[in-house]
Amino acid sequence: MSPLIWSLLITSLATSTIITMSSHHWLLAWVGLELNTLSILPVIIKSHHPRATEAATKYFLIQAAAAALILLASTLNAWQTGHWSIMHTSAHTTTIITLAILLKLGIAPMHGWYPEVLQGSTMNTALIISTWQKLAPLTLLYLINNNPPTNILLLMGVISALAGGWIGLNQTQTRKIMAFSSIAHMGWLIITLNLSLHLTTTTMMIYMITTTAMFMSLNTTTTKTMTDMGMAWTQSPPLTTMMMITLMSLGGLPPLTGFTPKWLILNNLCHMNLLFPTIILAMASLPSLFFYIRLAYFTTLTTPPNTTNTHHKWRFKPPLIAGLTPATSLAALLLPLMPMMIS
Amino acid sequence: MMYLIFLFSVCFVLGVLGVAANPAPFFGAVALVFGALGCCGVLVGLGGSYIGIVLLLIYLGGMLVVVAYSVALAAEPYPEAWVNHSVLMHVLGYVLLVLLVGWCFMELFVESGVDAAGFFSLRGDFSGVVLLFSMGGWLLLLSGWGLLLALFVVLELTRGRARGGLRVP
Amino acid sequence: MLKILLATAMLIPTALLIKPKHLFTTTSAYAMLITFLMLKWFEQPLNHKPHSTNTLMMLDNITTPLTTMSAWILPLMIIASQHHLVTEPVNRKRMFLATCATLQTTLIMTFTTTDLTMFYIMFEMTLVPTLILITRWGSQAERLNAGMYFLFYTLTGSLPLLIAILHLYVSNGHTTMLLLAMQNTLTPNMTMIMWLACMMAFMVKMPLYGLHLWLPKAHVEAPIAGSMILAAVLLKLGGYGIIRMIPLAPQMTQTMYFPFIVLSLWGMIMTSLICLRQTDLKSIIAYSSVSHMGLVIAATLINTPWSTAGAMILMIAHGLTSSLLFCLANTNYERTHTRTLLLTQGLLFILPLMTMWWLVASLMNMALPPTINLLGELMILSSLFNWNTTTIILTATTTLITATYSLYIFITTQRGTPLPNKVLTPTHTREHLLMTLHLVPLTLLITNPALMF
Repeated sequence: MSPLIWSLLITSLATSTIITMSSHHWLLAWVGLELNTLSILPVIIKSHHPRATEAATKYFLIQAAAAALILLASTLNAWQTGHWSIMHTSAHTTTIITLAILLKLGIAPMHGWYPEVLQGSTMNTALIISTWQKLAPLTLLYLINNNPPTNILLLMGVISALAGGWIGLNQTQTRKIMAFSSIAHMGWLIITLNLSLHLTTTTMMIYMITTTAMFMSLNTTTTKTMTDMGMAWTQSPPLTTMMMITLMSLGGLPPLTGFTPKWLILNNLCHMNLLFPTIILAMASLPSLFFYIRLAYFTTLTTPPNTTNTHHKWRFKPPLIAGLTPATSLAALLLPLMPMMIS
Repeated sequence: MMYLIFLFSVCFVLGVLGVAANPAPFFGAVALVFGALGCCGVLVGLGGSYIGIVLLLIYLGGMLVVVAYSVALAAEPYPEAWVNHSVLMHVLGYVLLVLLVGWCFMELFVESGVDAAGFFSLRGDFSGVVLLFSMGGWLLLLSGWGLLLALFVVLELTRGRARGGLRVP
Repeated sequence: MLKILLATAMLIPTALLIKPKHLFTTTSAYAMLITFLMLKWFEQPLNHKPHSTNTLMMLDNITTPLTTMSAWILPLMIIASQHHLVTEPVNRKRMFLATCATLQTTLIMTFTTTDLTMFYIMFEMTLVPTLILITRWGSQAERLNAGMYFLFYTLTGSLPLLIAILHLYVSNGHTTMLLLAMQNTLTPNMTMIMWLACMMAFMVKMPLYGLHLWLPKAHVEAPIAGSMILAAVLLKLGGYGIIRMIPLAPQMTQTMYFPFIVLSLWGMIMTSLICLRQTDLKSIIAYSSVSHMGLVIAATLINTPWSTAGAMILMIAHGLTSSLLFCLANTNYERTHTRTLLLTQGLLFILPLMTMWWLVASLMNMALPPTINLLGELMILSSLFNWNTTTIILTATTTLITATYSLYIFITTQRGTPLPNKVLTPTHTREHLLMTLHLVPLTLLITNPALMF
């Protein structure tokens, strides 16, 4: 891909999200979402692999369908209320829009496309899809928060947290595992929309930090499957140790960063006296922890048998990503900063 | 006027049928323009003259690009038209479907009428489009940017015939 | 408080940075020094309980003995692990020691914190280094399974505890243990579910019979350091938690404790009988831990002054004794490379001095008179008898079976004919030092048992 087109795509990827975030008019928000989808497509298909083609097609279809739903609902809203403002959306259209956004985010009953897309794209693209691409839809959820469909958000959040952990148990590909981890995290995230928006921001920030750290580590060690993970220690033992810590942080073991959102969300749910969802959510974190720990087993806790030439892998200096050190240390150590983050 | 609008609506449906029956891209584009013409006529007949013209212009421009694109990239020596065997089956099937649906719902439309569903309450909003072009210059610019982006994206996606590009050779 | 905590935390960089030549000597000496500094905590001027408090931490007569014991176990862990680390590269040795030091730091914080939320976080934080110890440093492939069992049993038990703590926070506005116990505002509306949520985490950790399946696996598959700290300290976290939680809901405990006490007493008999049928040396010791912990659960649940004191004494005694037994099992394992009892018999003729340690350890385990094991068991037995006379049937039977399997371990390992064609190295001074360091507190504490409760 020529650098000119590349820079065009990346620029519009960034600006389109910002357009959606700063829009006040449904049409503009929709334009932003569509531009966002359009500009990520060539990035996904860049490797020109059949799987990449499949991923791009699936991504396009899903995102376009969701955006069309949003457009439909906002038109309906305009018909009913006579204006296009995002802030004042009527209850029915809010429900349709929320469902469309949840489809865009890959929340559980509508998550089928997500692992396939992540598996088809490269590690860095998967990072973009699972972090930056979530921002624009999430902002729309923020903006329609004056009358959110509370039950739908709560129900789908719980289902997503459960399903993400449950289906992820079966996976052996790291990107698919990360996809299911992302689905589970998104479940926790959309539950916070019912509780407090500060909490949503905190959860999203921490999700992005931990996911970024994990994807960067996976990218540095070129780990595609769990088997590859067993070979990672020959490249850089400290990095695999940090991967283990990051995985545990993703799983939400205290006192790592990943525990912060879980703690706050459970606390808020207790405040609302929603004891049943609280217990289900807390227990839903166990299956996902199981596959994180299994990955951690492969990174550090076992040294699987290797062929002799893997022992010489350390001679090739692994390409150092600049953000890796801060990302992994943030993914491990942010819990004490919690009071600063939520205020 | 009523008959004119009906005629245009039939045009529109026929155009959509022509596209849906899956002929070669040339003919598809022609049918789409035909459909757009019909749609434009309906809009003009219902009183939205400005939006009708805008629609026609945009579709003509867009179809021009598609025709140019298909001439450039997908030119076949023997393009399939509607009378070809495979396409004809589709055409007949769709026509049957339309007739069936029309027959089922004709009663409903005759009784309540098109306008009774409150469709024309939306008509006043079309003037907002004029407002858009007079005041939303930035939005126009943004749409231009979006079209440019779409062009590049399509080029990028269809490039690389042998390497798993989206276009099937 | 901080002078101990910071010093222990600084063991981590010490282990990572010091010269390889002085690695083990420095870390073990340093850890031992910390323990000696900690002894000052036993001096309680004006007998204030809790004493030396600050906003986050406190010391009282439950915290102090347990913390001191866990600090005492750390240098012993380092001493005991030297042999199996000798072939490892130096970086791995450093990481091992750093993991042990991290575990120790979190343990001190778990025992000394006053806040329930902080307690929960630290309670969970001990899981990570322990998991690393079990799964990274164990030797068999089954260790992975054991690590999973360990982690998920504990987490499944303790997530309800987190929700219960958050619920307490919502209804009270704070989670300070001392204030909650004083206020007792939540007692009337404390429901059965709430009580279960508070207690199950510790019941799993102790472990109660029926929730104990993770323990034999974890003990057997862990390396020696892991087995030692698991048996000595991590099980005591459960007892500590129950002792701390019961003042929050004394009435509810009175109605809820029957099934748990019955299960623990019945479990004592069952697990001691299981001990008699084991072929694996470490497995016997693990099941004996479950059996002893059953006594502690019963004692902490009936919550009289005598029973709590007895539970504290038994926890200290059992911590040191089972750690000692694991060390002895490990010295055998390092020579014979098997834990099977059939293959390790007749060691009397090969390691005669070790036989003496085995004898003393077995006698300690079956609670012979001049030891604190006996004192603890007697106090618990008599308070249980006071609670309900029929319990004496179960407890006395268990005492008998405990004596039987202790002697069974001793006889099968020491007597009989040694297997031919085995070349066993003689004992090291390090190993004798290790056993002595376990036995000294065990025997000396009988002179002043008041230190332990």
